[in-house]
Amino acid sequence: MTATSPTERRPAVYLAGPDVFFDRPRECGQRLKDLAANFGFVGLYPLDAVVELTHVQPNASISPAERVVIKRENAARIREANMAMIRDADAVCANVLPFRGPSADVGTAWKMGYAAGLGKIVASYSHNAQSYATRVLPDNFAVEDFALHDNFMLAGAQHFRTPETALQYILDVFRMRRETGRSP
Amino acid sequence: MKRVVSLADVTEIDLDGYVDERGIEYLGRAARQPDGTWRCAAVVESCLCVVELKLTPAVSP
Repeated sequence: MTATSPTERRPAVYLAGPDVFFDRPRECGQRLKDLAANFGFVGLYPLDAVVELTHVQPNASISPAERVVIKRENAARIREANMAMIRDADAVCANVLPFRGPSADVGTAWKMGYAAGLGKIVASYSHNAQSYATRVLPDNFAVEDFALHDNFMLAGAQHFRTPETALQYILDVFRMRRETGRSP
Repeated sequence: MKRVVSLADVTEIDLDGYVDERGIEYLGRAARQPDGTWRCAAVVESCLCVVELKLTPAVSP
């Protein structure tokens, strides 16, 4: 099942998803990294990034405007760290479970697009088997029903039901590329 | 001594590590949503998911 021989560099897979917002995010990350390791990949989890953030105490004597600036600077640092990890990765494996609505987590969706734009392999997974059109609550706006798991712009990524099958797909693409002389 | 708590009085329930009869493992706390439903992070067939729960109060014999 592994992707490399001991002398080869292990391909890196960025493990995107809203699991970073769950109650025990580091444990979620470790589960995913263990799964990735089973396929010979180095799993890159967003929370592994070393990001220097500015912490402001609630009673700190700074203005509300300064507090907003600091929060947004922190957000920018996290964003840049995530982007750097994706650039370092060979592929992205994204958990696109419907999150806070009928669609994938918006940050995860953005990362998938960023990775696709960089030419990375992108695969997604979700245990939710319903189509996007089924999940959207009726309103007065058009729903594009392409029988897809989510918005059609995410469908450029191969979609699977479990992280294992998504990682297997990534592994298969690596092997195919290696056989045809293309680097991961 | 058993502490009896009404579901109506709590907004979170710690389910961390609980595995139900279907093999779903719950992570962290279930939280009551504004619409009255309960949700919790869980592992379903190795997928990290958010699941909706039906909580049934235990009835004393």
